[in-house]
Amino acid sequence: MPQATLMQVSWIDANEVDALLGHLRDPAPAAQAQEPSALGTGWGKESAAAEATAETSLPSARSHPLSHHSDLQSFREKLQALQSHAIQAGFLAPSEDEETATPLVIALPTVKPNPPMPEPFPTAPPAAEAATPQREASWGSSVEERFSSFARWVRTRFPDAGLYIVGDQGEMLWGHGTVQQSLVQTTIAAWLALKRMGSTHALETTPVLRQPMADGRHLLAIACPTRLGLLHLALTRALPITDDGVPELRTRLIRSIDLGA
Amino acid sequence: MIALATASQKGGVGKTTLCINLAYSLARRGWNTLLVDTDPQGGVGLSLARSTRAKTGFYDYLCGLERDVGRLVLATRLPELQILPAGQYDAAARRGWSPQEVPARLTDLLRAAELRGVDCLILDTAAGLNAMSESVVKACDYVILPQQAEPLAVRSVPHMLETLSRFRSEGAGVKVAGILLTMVSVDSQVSQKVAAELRALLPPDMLFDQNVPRLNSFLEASAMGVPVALLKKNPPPEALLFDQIAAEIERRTGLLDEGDAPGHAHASLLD
Repeated sequence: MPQATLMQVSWIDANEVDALLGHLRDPAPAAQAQEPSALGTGWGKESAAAEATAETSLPSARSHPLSHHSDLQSFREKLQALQSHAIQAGFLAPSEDEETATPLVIALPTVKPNPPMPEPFPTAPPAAEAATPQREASWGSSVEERFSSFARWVRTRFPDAGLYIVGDQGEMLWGHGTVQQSLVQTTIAAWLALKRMGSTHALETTPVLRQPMADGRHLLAIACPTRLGLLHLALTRALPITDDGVPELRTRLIRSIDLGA
Repeated sequence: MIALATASQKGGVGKTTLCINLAYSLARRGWNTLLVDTDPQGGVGLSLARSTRAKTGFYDYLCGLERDVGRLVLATRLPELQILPAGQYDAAARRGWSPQEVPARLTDLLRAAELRGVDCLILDTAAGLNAMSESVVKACDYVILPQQAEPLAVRSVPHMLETLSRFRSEGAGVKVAGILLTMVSVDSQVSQKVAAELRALLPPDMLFDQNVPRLNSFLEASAMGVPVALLKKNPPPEALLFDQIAAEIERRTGLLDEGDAPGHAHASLLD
Protein backbone atom coordinates (compact mmCIF):
# COMPACT_ATOMS: atom_id res chain seq x y z
CA MET A 1 0.00 0.00 0.00
CA PRO A 2 1.47 3.39 -0.90
CA GLN A 3 2.34 5.80 1.83
CA ALA A 4 0.05 8.64 2.74
CA THR A 5 -0.25 11.05 -0.12
CA LEU A 6 -3.18 13.00 -1.39
CA MET A 7 -4.14 11.39 -4.64
CA GLN A 8 -4.09 13.69 -7.56
CA VAL A 9 -7.62 13.11 -8.72
CA SER A 10 -9.46 11.15 -6.11
CA TRP A 11 -8.04 13.08 -3.14
CA ILE A 12 -8.09 10.03 -0.96
CA ASP A 13 -5.73 9.86 1.98
CA ALA A 14 -4.12 6.43 1.90
CA ASN A 15 -3.47 6.40 5.65
CA GLU A 16 -7.05 7.26 6.44
CA VAL A 17 -8.34 4.51 4.17
CA ASP A 18 -5.83 2.07 5.61
CA ALA A 19 -7.08 2.74 9.13
CA LEU A 20 -10.71 2.39 8.07
CA LEU A 21 -9.99 -0.88 6.31
CA GLY A 22 -8.40 -2.12 9.50
CA HIS A 23 -11.66 -1.48 11.34
CA LEU A 24 -13.64 -3.22 8.64
CA ARG A 25 -11.44 -6.31 8.76
CA ASP A 26 -11.68 -6.69 12.54
CA PRO A 27 -14.21 -9.25 13.64
CA ALA A 28 -17.50 -7.58 14.52
CA PRO A 29 -17.21 -6.64 18.18
CA ALA A 30 -20.27 -8.45 19.43
CA ALA A 31 -19.46 -7.62 23.04
CA GLN A 32 -19.64 -3.96 22.19
CA ALA A 33 -22.96 -4.29 20.47
CA GLN A 34 -25.25 -1.67 21.88
CA GLU A 35 -28.81 -1.99 22.93
CA PRO A 36 -31.37 -1.48 20.17
CA SER A 37 -32.34 1.94 21.46
CA ALA A 38 -28.77 3.16 21.14
CA LEU A 39 -28.05 1.77 17.72
CA GLY A 40 -28.44 4.96 15.83
CA THR A 41 -30.58 3.46 13.13
CA GLY A 42 -31.21 6.89 11.79
CA TRP A 43 -34.93 6.70 12.29
CA GLY A 44 -34.94 9.52 14.78
CA LYS A 45 -36.64 9.46 18.13
CA GLU A 46 -38.99 6.53 18.48
CA SER A 47 -42.52 7.48 19.39
CA ALA A 48 -44.47 6.10 22.29
CA ALA A 49 -46.97 4.77 19.80
CA ALA A 50 -44.23 2.88 18.07
CA GLU A 51 -43.10 1.39 21.36
CA ALA A 52 -46.65 0.31 22.05
CA THR A 53 -46.79 -1.32 18.62
CA ALA A 54 -43.57 -3.18 19.35
CA GLU A 55 -45.18 -4.72 22.39
CA THR A 56 -47.93 -6.26 20.31
CA SER A 57 -45.74 -7.41 17.45
CA LEU A 58 -44.78 -10.93 16.47
CA PRO A 59 -42.36 -12.73 18.77
CA SER A 60 -39.60 -12.55 16.16
CA ALA A 61 -40.08 -8.84 15.87
CA ARG A 62 -39.28 -8.44 19.55
CA SER A 63 -35.93 -10.14 19.23
CA HIS A 64 -32.73 -8.14 19.46
CA PRO A 65 -32.29 -6.49 16.09
CA LEU A 66 -28.59 -7.13 16.02
CA SER A 67 -28.80 -10.74 17.02
CA HIS A 68 -30.07 -11.62 13.58
CA HIS A 69 -26.85 -13.21 12.44
CA SER A 70 -26.67 -15.63 15.34
CA ASP A 71 -30.46 -16.02 15.14
CA LEU A 72 -30.24 -16.91 11.50
CA GLN A 73 -27.37 -19.30 12.09
CA SER A 74 -29.27 -21.24 14.73
CA PHE A 75 -32.39 -21.05 12.57
CA ARG A 76 -30.46 -22.53 9.64
CA GLU A 77 -29.08 -25.30 11.83
CA LYS A 78 -32.57 -26.11 13.12
CA LEU A 79 -33.92 -26.08 9.59
CA GLN A 80 -31.21 -28.48 8.43
CA ALA A 81 -31.87 -30.79 11.37
CA LEU A 82 -35.61 -30.78 10.62
CA GLN A 83 -34.93 -31.52 6.97
CA SER A 84 -32.71 -34.51 7.83
CA HIS A 85 -35.33 -35.85 10.24
CA ALA A 86 -38.01 -35.47 7.59
CA ILE A 87 -35.84 -37.22 5.00
CA GLN A 88 -35.05 -40.05 7.40
CA ALA A 89 -38.74 -40.43 8.21
CA GLY A 90 -39.55 -40.54 4.51
CA PHE A 91 -41.67 -37.36 4.48
CA LEU A 92 -39.23 -35.55 2.23
CA ALA A 93 -37.34 -36.80 -0.77
CA PRO A 94 -33.60 -36.33 -0.39
CA SER A 95 -32.30 -33.35 -2.28
CA GLU A 96 -30.47 -33.85 -5.53
CA ASP A 97 -27.16 -33.36 -3.74
CA GLU A 98 -27.84 -36.31 -1.51
CA GLU A 99 -29.01 -38.64 -4.22
CA THR A 100 -26.69 -40.63 -6.41
CA ALA A 101 -27.00 -38.53 -9.46
CA THR A 102 -27.33 -40.28 -12.76
CA PRO A 103 -25.29 -38.79 -15.55
CA LEU A 104 -26.96 -35.95 -17.38
CA VAL A 105 -26.48 -34.23 -20.67
CA ILE A 106 -24.36 -31.18 -20.08
CA ALA A 107 -24.92 -27.95 -21.89
CA LEU A 108 -21.76 -26.24 -23.01
CA PRO A 109 -20.95 -23.51 -20.51
CA THR A 110 -21.69 -20.03 -21.70
CA VAL A 111 -19.55 -18.14 -19.24
CA LYS A 112 -16.16 -19.70 -19.77
CA PRO A 113 -14.61 -17.23 -22.19
CA ASN A 114 -13.33 -14.04 -20.65
CA PRO A 115 -15.17 -11.05 -22.00
CA PRO A 116 -13.28 -9.35 -24.76
CA MET A 117 -13.13 -6.01 -23.00
CA PRO A 118 -10.95 -3.11 -23.97
CA GLU A 119 -7.45 -3.21 -22.44
CA PRO A 120 -7.94 -0.69 -19.64
CA PHE A 121 -10.49 -2.91 -17.91
CA PRO A 122 -8.92 -5.55 -15.76
CA THR A 123 -10.55 -8.91 -16.06
CA ALA A 124 -11.71 -11.24 -13.35
CA PRO A 125 -9.74 -14.35 -12.43
CA PRO A 126 -9.42 -16.97 -15.14
CA ALA A 127 -12.36 -19.26 -15.62
CA ALA A 128 -10.59 -22.15 -13.90
CA GLU A 129 -10.31 -20.12 -10.72
CA ALA A 130 -13.75 -18.58 -10.81
CA ALA A 131 -15.56 -21.63 -12.00
CA THR A 132 -19.28 -22.14 -12.28
CA PRO A 133 -20.58 -24.28 -9.44
CA GLN A 134 -20.33 -27.78 -10.77
CA ARG A 135 -23.92 -28.82 -10.72
CA GLU A 136 -25.25 -30.71 -13.68
CA ALA A 137 -27.28 -28.80 -16.06
CA SER A 138 -28.20 -26.38 -18.68
CA TRP A 139 -28.65 -23.53 -16.28
CA GLY A 140 -30.29 -20.59 -17.84
CA SER A 141 -33.01 -22.38 -19.74
CA SER A 142 -36.43 -20.89 -19.22
CA VAL A 143 -39.38 -22.58 -17.53
CA GLU A 144 -40.98 -23.15 -20.93
CA GLU A 145 -37.83 -24.80 -22.24
CA ARG A 146 -37.68 -27.06 -19.19
CA PHE A 147 -41.31 -28.13 -19.62
CA SER A 148 -40.61 -28.71 -23.26
CA SER A 149 -37.58 -30.86 -22.48
CA PHE A 150 -39.66 -32.93 -20.06
CA ALA A 151 -42.44 -33.28 -22.63
CA ARG A 152 -39.92 -34.63 -25.13
CA TRP A 153 -38.85 -37.26 -22.64
CA VAL A 154 -42.47 -38.22 -21.88
CA ARG A 155 -43.12 -38.64 -25.61
CA THR A 156 -40.29 -41.16 -25.84
CA ARG A 157 -41.45 -43.02 -22.74
CA PHE A 158 -45.24 -42.88 -23.22
CA PRO A 159 -45.81 -41.91 -26.86
CA ASP A 160 -49.59 -42.32 -26.64
CA ALA A 161 -50.06 -40.25 -23.46
CA GLY A 162 -51.47 -36.74 -23.18
CA LEU A 163 -49.29 -34.58 -20.95
CA TYR A 164 -50.47 -31.75 -18.70
CA ILE A 165 -48.72 -29.80 -15.97
CA VAL A 166 -50.90 -27.92 -13.52
CA GLY A 167 -49.74 -25.39 -10.91
CA ASP A 168 -50.68 -25.57 -7.26
CA GLN A 169 -53.45 -23.04 -7.75
CA GLY A 170 -54.97 -25.11 -10.54
CA GLU A 171 -53.52 -23.08 -13.41
CA MET A 172 -52.66 -25.03 -16.56
CA LEU A 173 -48.95 -24.59 -17.28
CA TRP A 174 -48.51 -27.17 -20.03
CA GLY A 175 -51.03 -28.87 -22.28
CA HIS A 176 -52.99 -25.87 -23.51
CA GLY A 177 -55.23 -26.22 -26.48
CA THR A 178 -55.92 -29.90 -26.15
CA VAL A 179 -59.40 -31.37 -26.13
CA GLN A 180 -59.08 -32.77 -22.66
CA GLN A 181 -57.48 -29.69 -21.13
CA SER A 182 -60.50 -28.39 -19.27
CA LEU A 183 -61.53 -31.84 -18.06
CA VAL A 184 -58.05 -32.55 -16.71
CA GLN A 185 -57.85 -29.09 -15.17
CA THR A 186 -61.21 -29.44 -13.45
CA THR A 187 -60.40 -32.90 -12.15
CA ILE A 188 -57.09 -31.77 -10.71
CA ALA A 189 -58.62 -28.59 -9.23
CA ALA A 190 -61.20 -30.73 -7.45
CA TRP A 191 -58.46 -33.06 -6.24
CA LEU A 192 -56.46 -30.12 -4.94
CA ALA A 193 -59.46 -28.74 -3.08
CA LEU A 194 -60.12 -32.15 -1.56
CA LYS A 195 -56.51 -32.52 -0.54
CA ARG A 196 -56.51 -29.13 1.16
CA MET A 197 -59.64 -29.96 3.13
CA GLY A 198 -58.18 -33.20 4.43
CA SER A 199 -55.72 -33.29 7.29
CA THR A 200 -53.84 -36.42 6.27
CA HIS A 201 -52.52 -35.21 2.96
CA ALA A 202 -49.55 -33.59 4.62
CA LEU A 203 -48.26 -37.01 5.57
CA GLU A 204 -48.42 -38.39 2.06
CA THR A 205 -45.00 -38.49 0.50
CA THR A 206 -46.12 -38.95 -3.10
CA PRO A 207 -49.75 -37.94 -3.54
CA VAL A 208 -51.12 -39.62 -6.63
CA LEU A 209 -54.54 -39.44 -8.24
CA ARG A 210 -55.89 -42.15 -10.55
CA GLN A 211 -59.18 -41.61 -12.23
CA PRO A 212 -60.96 -43.10 -15.25
CA MET A 213 -62.23 -40.49 -17.65
CA ALA A 214 -65.47 -40.33 -19.64
CA ASP A 215 -63.72 -41.18 -22.90
CA GLY A 216 -62.33 -44.36 -21.40
CA ARG A 217 -58.81 -43.04 -20.92
CA HIS A 218 -57.09 -43.13 -17.55
CA LEU A 219 -55.87 -40.04 -15.76
CA LEU A 220 -52.80 -40.25 -13.58
CA ALA A 221 -51.83 -37.13 -11.59
CA ILE A 222 -48.68 -36.90 -9.49
CA ALA A 223 -47.76 -34.07 -7.12
CA CYS A 224 -44.16 -32.98 -7.63
CA PRO A 225 -42.43 -30.51 -5.30
CA THR A 226 -40.14 -28.39 -7.46
CA ARG A 227 -38.39 -25.08 -7.05
CA LEU A 228 -41.35 -23.53 -8.86
CA GLY A 229 -43.56 -24.79 -6.07
CA LEU A 230 -45.83 -27.83 -6.05
CA LEU A 231 -46.59 -28.87 -9.63
CA HIS A 232 -49.06 -31.56 -10.66
CA LEU A 233 -48.05 -33.76 -13.51
CA ALA A 234 -51.03 -35.33 -15.28
CA LEU A 235 -50.99 -38.01 -17.96
CA THR A 236 -53.99 -39.37 -19.83
CA ARG A 237 -53.59 -42.70 -21.54
CA ALA A 238 -55.72 -45.54 -22.86
CA LEU A 239 -53.93 -48.00 -20.60
CA PRO A 240 -53.26 -46.99 -17.01
CA ILE A 241 -49.65 -46.31 -16.12
CA THR A 242 -48.46 -48.77 -13.52
CA ASP A 243 -47.25 -47.77 -10.08
CA ASP A 244 -43.71 -48.59 -11.16
CA GLY A 245 -43.74 -45.67 -13.56
CA VAL A 246 -44.77 -43.08 -10.97
CA PRO A 247 -41.43 -42.45 -9.22
CA GLU A 248 -39.64 -42.12 -12.56
CA LEU A 249 -42.16 -39.57 -13.86
CA ARG A 250 -42.03 -37.59 -10.66
CA THR A 251 -38.24 -37.58 -10.45
CA ARG A 252 -37.92 -36.64 -14.11
CA LEU A 253 -40.19 -33.63 -13.80
CA ILE A 254 -38.43 -32.44 -10.65
CA ARG A 255 -35.04 -32.82 -12.32
CA SER A 256 -36.23 -31.03 -15.43
CA ILE A 257 -37.39 -28.04 -13.44
CA ASP A 258 -34.81 -27.94 -10.70
CA LEU A 259 -31.75 -28.87 -12.71
CA GLY A 260 -32.74 -27.92 -16.23
CA ALA A 261 -31.89 -31.51 -17.13
CA MET B 1 -27.80 -18.55 1.93
CA ILE B 2 -25.97 -15.26 1.70
CA ALA B 3 -27.67 -11.87 1.85
CA LEU B 4 -25.96 -9.21 -0.20
CA ALA B 5 -26.85 -5.51 -0.32
CA THR B 6 -25.61 -2.71 -2.50
CA ALA B 7 -24.85 0.66 -0.97
CA SER B 8 -23.72 3.98 -2.29
CA GLN B 9 -23.72 7.54 -1.01
CA LYS B 10 -24.33 8.83 -4.50
CA GLY B 11 -27.25 8.12 -6.78
CA GLY B 12 -26.98 7.08 -10.41
CA VAL B 13 -23.89 4.93 -9.98
CA GLY B 14 -25.52 1.86 -11.49
CA LYS B 15 -26.74 0.04 -8.38
CA THR B 16 -29.98 -1.11 -9.95
CA THR B 17 -28.32 -2.12 -13.22
CA LEU B 18 -25.79 -4.07 -11.21
CA CYS B 19 -28.45 -5.78 -9.10
CA ILE B 20 -30.60 -6.85 -12.05
CA ASN B 21 -27.72 -8.15 -14.13
CA LEU B 22 -25.90 -9.73 -11.23
CA ALA B 23 -29.06 -11.49 -10.03
CA TYR B 24 -29.60 -12.80 -13.55
CA SER B 25 -26.00 -14.04 -13.79
CA LEU B 26 -26.12 -15.73 -10.40
CA ALA B 27 -29.39 -17.42 -11.36
CA ARG B 28 -27.89 -18.58 -14.66
CA ARG B 29 -25.02 -20.05 -12.69
CA GLY B 30 -27.52 -22.16 -10.80
CA TRP B 31 -28.08 -20.23 -7.59
CA ASN B 32 -31.60 -19.71 -6.37
CA THR B 33 -31.63 -15.95 -6.34
CA LEU B 34 -34.15 -13.51 -4.93
CA LEU B 35 -33.74 -9.89 -5.93
CA VAL B 36 -35.38 -7.51 -3.47
CA ASP B 37 -35.98 -3.86 -4.29
CA THR B 38 -35.85 -1.75 -1.13
CA ASP B 39 -35.60 1.53 -3.03
CA PRO B 40 -38.92 3.40 -2.70
CA GLN B 41 -38.47 4.54 -6.31
CA GLY B 42 -38.77 0.91 -7.30
CA GLY B 43 -35.92 1.01 -9.78
CA VAL B 44 -35.73 -2.75 -10.21
CA GLY B 45 -39.40 -3.08 -11.07
CA LEU B 46 -39.39 -0.03 -13.30
CA SER B 47 -36.39 -1.40 -15.14
CA LEU B 48 -38.13 -4.64 -15.90
CA ALA B 49 -41.83 -4.02 -16.39
CA ARG B 50 -44.24 -1.12 -16.53
CA SER B 51 -46.84 -2.92 -14.44
CA THR B 52 -44.69 -3.43 -11.34
CA ARG B 53 -45.66 -0.02 -9.93
CA ALA B 54 -49.07 -1.42 -9.14
CA LYS B 55 -47.77 -4.60 -7.58
CA THR B 56 -47.32 -5.21 -3.91
CA GLY B 57 -43.85 -5.93 -2.61
CA PHE B 58 -41.19 -5.16 -0.05
CA TYR B 59 -42.88 -2.17 1.60
CA ASP B 60 -46.19 -4.01 1.86
CA TYR B 61 -44.31 -6.76 3.69
CA LEU B 62 -42.51 -4.24 5.86
CA CYS B 63 -45.67 -2.58 7.13
CA GLY B 64 -47.50 -5.87 7.58
CA LEU B 65 -50.01 -5.45 4.74
CA GLU B 66 -48.88 -8.85 3.53
CA ARG B 67 -47.02 -11.28 5.74
CA ASP B 68 -46.49 -14.06 3.22
CA VAL B 69 -43.41 -13.33 1.10
CA GLY B 70 -44.52 -16.02 -1.33
CA ARG B 71 -47.51 -13.91 -2.36
CA LEU B 72 -45.30 -10.93 -3.16
CA VAL B 73 -42.57 -12.62 -5.13
CA LEU B 74 -42.65 -12.41 -8.93
CA ALA B 75 -41.49 -15.33 -11.04
CA THR B 76 -39.21 -14.77 -14.01
CA ARG B 77 -38.36 -16.81 -17.08
CA LEU B 78 -35.61 -18.46 -15.06
CA PRO B 79 -36.89 -20.71 -12.28
CA GLU B 80 -33.79 -19.77 -10.30
CA LEU B 81 -34.56 -16.05 -10.31
CA GLN B 82 -37.40 -14.39 -8.44
CA ILE B 83 -38.04 -10.74 -7.75
CA LEU B 84 -39.60 -8.97 -4.81
CA PRO B 85 -40.49 -5.52 -6.14
CA ALA B 86 -40.51 -2.42 -3.95
CA GLY B 87 -44.28 -2.51 -3.77
CA GLN B 88 -46.58 0.33 -2.95
CA TYR B 89 -44.36 2.58 -0.91
CA ASP B 90 -46.90 5.41 -0.55
CA ALA B 91 -49.66 3.14 0.66
CA ALA B 92 -47.26 1.49 3.07
CA ALA B 93 -45.93 4.84 4.28
CA ARG B 94 -49.49 6.07 4.94
CA ARG B 95 -50.11 3.00 7.00
CA GLY B 96 -46.72 3.47 8.65
CA TRP B 97 -44.36 1.08 10.27
CA SER B 98 -42.54 1.04 13.53
CA PRO B 99 -38.89 1.99 13.03
CA GLN B 100 -37.79 -0.37 15.78
CA GLU B 101 -39.42 -3.25 14.00
CA VAL B 102 -37.61 -2.76 10.70
CA PRO B 103 -34.52 -4.83 11.63
CA ALA B 104 -36.73 -7.64 12.90
CA ARG B 105 -38.94 -7.54 9.80
CA LEU B 106 -35.80 -7.72 7.67
CA THR B 107 -34.64 -10.72 9.67
CA ASP B 108 -38.04 -12.29 9.06
CA LEU B 109 -37.62 -11.62 5.35
CA LEU B 110 -34.22 -13.31 5.38
CA ARG B 111 -35.69 -16.30 7.18
CA ALA B 112 -38.56 -16.52 4.74
CA ALA B 113 -36.08 -16.44 1.86
CA GLU B 114 -34.04 -19.17 3.49
CA LEU B 115 -37.17 -21.28 3.87
CA ARG B 116 -37.93 -20.79 0.18
CA GLY B 117 -34.54 -22.29 -0.64
CA VAL B 118 -32.93 -19.05 -1.72
CA ASP B 119 -29.14 -19.31 -2.05
CA CYS B 120 -28.46 -15.69 -2.75
CA LEU B 121 -30.58 -12.77 -1.62
CA ILE B 122 -29.70 -9.48 -3.31
CA LEU B 123 -31.11 -6.28 -1.89
CA ASP B 124 -31.01 -3.12 -3.96
CA THR B 125 -31.05 0.03 -1.83
CA ALA B 126 -31.85 3.67 -2.35
CA ALA B 127 -28.91 6.03 -2.77
CA GLY B 128 -27.52 7.86 0.21
CA LEU B 129 -27.74 5.31 2.99
CA ASN B 130 -30.95 6.62 4.49
CA ALA B 131 -32.42 4.93 7.55
CA MET B 132 -33.99 2.12 5.53
CA SER B 133 -30.85 1.45 3.50
CA GLU B 134 -28.81 1.46 6.69
CA SER B 135 -31.08 -1.15 8.25
CA VAL B 136 -30.93 -3.23 5.07
CA VAL B 137 -27.14 -3.15 4.92
CA LYS B 138 -26.90 -4.02 8.61
CA ALA B 139 -29.18 -7.00 8.09
CA CYS B 140 -27.02 -8.44 5.33
CA ASP B 141 -23.97 -10.68 5.36
CA TYR B 142 -22.17 -8.66 2.69
CA VAL B 143 -22.35 -5.29 1.02
CA ILE B 144 -21.11 -4.35 -2.44
CA LEU B 145 -20.10 -0.73 -2.88
CA PRO B 146 -20.55 0.43 -6.48
CA GLN B 147 -18.43 3.51 -7.09
CA GLN B 148 -18.75 5.59 -10.19
CA ALA B 149 -15.27 6.09 -11.69
CA GLU B 150 -15.23 9.85 -11.52
CA PRO B 151 -13.42 12.08 -9.01
CA LEU B 152 -16.35 13.44 -7.03
CA ALA B 153 -17.84 9.99 -6.56
CA VAL B 154 -14.70 8.25 -5.37
CA ARG B 155 -13.93 11.03 -2.92
CA SER B 156 -16.82 9.65 -0.91
CA VAL B 157 -15.08 6.27 -0.50
CA PRO B 158 -13.56 7.13 2.90
CA HIS B 159 -16.95 8.41 4.05
CA MET B 160 -18.61 5.14 3.05
CA LEU B 161 -15.90 3.05 4.72
CA GLU B 162 -16.31 5.18 7.84
CA THR B 163 -20.04 4.55 7.86
CA LEU B 164 -19.54 0.81 7.45
CA SER B 165 -16.94 0.90 10.19
CA ARG B 166 -19.57 2.51 12.44
CA PHE B 167 -22.07 -0.26 11.57
CA ARG B 168 -19.56 -2.83 12.69
CA SER B 169 -18.75 -0.97 15.87
CA GLU B 170 -22.48 -1.04 16.57
CA GLY B 171 -22.38 -4.80 16.31
CA ALA B 172 -23.59 -5.41 12.75
CA GLY B 173 -21.84 -8.36 11.14
CA VAL B 174 -21.99 -7.06 7.59
CA LYS B 175 -18.74 -7.49 5.65
CA VAL B 176 -17.56 -5.60 2.59
CA ALA B 177 -17.63 -7.87 -0.45
CA GLY B 178 -15.75 -5.17 -2.30
CA ILE B 179 -15.88 -1.85 -4.05
CA LEU B 180 -16.99 -2.17 -7.65
CA LEU B 181 -15.93 0.50 -10.08
CA THR B 182 -18.83 1.40 -12.34
CA MET B 183 -19.37 3.65 -15.34
CA VAL B 184 -15.69 3.51 -16.18
CA SER B 185 -15.27 5.48 -19.37
CA VAL B 186 -12.68 4.29 -21.89
CA ASP B 187 -12.65 7.69 -23.55
CA SER B 188 -12.10 9.72 -20.42
CA GLN B 189 -8.59 10.10 -19.05
CA VAL B 190 -9.97 11.30 -15.73
CA SER B 191 -12.16 8.24 -15.39
CA GLN B 192 -9.20 6.00 -16.21
CA LYS B 193 -7.03 7.84 -13.72
CA VAL B 194 -9.60 7.52 -10.97
CA ALA B 195 -9.85 3.78 -11.62
CA ALA B 196 -6.07 3.39 -11.61
CA GLU B 197 -5.67 5.42 -8.41
CA LEU B 198 -8.30 3.47 -6.54
CA ARG B 199 -6.79 0.21 -7.68
CA ALA B 200 -3.34 1.34 -6.50
CA LEU B 201 -4.72 2.55 -3.19
CA LEU B 202 -6.96 -0.29 -2.14
CA PRO B 203 -5.90 -3.85 -1.39
CA PRO B 204 -7.13 -6.39 -3.97
CA ASP B 205 -9.65 -7.97 -1.60
CA MET B 206 -11.38 -4.62 -1.24
CA LEU B 207 -11.82 -3.93 -4.95
CA PHE B 208 -13.50 -6.17 -7.51
CA ASP B 209 -11.16 -7.26 -10.29
CA GLN B 210 -13.88 -6.58 -12.80
CA ASN B 211 -14.99 -3.02 -13.61
CA VAL B 212 -18.31 -2.08 -15.14
CA PRO B 213 -17.75 0.23 -18.11
CA ARG B 214 -20.07 2.99 -19.23
CA LEU B 215 -21.86 1.49 -22.22
CA ASN B 216 -24.99 2.31 -24.15
CA SER B 217 -26.15 -1.29 -24.06
CA PHE B 218 -26.98 -0.92 -20.37
CA LEU B 219 -29.30 1.94 -21.23
CA GLU B 220 -30.81 -0.05 -24.07
CA ALA B 221 -31.37 -3.06 -21.81
CA SER B 222 -33.02 -0.85 -19.23
CA ALA B 223 -35.25 0.71 -21.89
CA MET B 224 -36.34 -2.73 -23.01
CA GLY B 225 -36.81 -3.99 -19.47
CA VAL B 226 -34.32 -6.85 -19.63
CA PRO B 227 -30.95 -7.79 -18.21
CA VAL B 228 -28.25 -6.99 -20.74
CA ALA B 229 -27.75 -10.71 -21.40
CA LEU B 230 -31.26 -10.87 -22.87
CA LEU B 231 -30.80 -7.87 -25.13
CA LYS B 232 -30.02 -10.07 -28.11
CA LYS B 233 -30.17 -13.73 -28.91
CA ASN B 234 -26.41 -13.90 -28.61
CA PRO B 235 -25.61 -11.75 -25.58
CA PRO B 236 -23.19 -8.85 -26.11
CA PRO B 237 -19.72 -9.22 -24.53
CA GLU B 238 -20.60 -6.87 -21.70
CA ALA B 239 -23.20 -9.35 -20.46
CA LEU B 240 -20.29 -11.58 -19.50
CA LEU B 241 -18.99 -8.86 -17.20
CA PHE B 242 -21.72 -9.74 -14.77
CA ASP B 243 -20.86 -13.43 -14.98
CA GLN B 244 -17.33 -12.46 -13.97
CA ILE B 245 -18.65 -10.35 -11.10
CA ALA B 246 -20.92 -13.22 -10.07
CA ALA B 247 -17.89 -15.52 -10.07
CA GLU B 248 -16.00 -13.05 -7.92
CA ILE B 249 -18.90 -12.85 -5.51
CA GLU B 250 -19.01 -16.62 -5.23
CA ARG B 251 -15.34 -16.53 -4.27
CA ARG B 252 -15.50 -13.48 -2.00
CA THR B 253 -18.56 -14.57 -0.05
CA GLY B 254 -17.90 -18.28 0.22
CA LEU B 255 -21.05 -19.03 -1.77
CA LEU B 256 -19.19 -21.79 -3.60
CA ASP B 257 -18.27 -23.48 -0.32
CA GLU B 258 -21.88 -23.34 0.73
CA GLY B 259 -23.13 -24.76 -2.54
CA ASP B 260 -20.52 -27.40 -3.18
CA ALA B 261 -21.59 -30.83 -2.14
CA PRO B 262 -19.93 -34.23 -2.36
CA GLY B 263 -20.42 -35.67 -5.81
CA HIS B 264 -20.51 -32.25 -7.43
CA ALA B 265 -16.80 -31.78 -7.85
CA HIS B 266 -17.06 -32.11 -11.60
CA ALA B 267 -19.48 -33.11 -14.28
CA SER B 268 -19.12 -35.22 -17.36
CA LEU B 269 -19.30 -33.47 -20.71
CA LEU B 270 -20.57 -36.31 -22.85
CA ASP B 271 -23.20 -38.13 -20.85
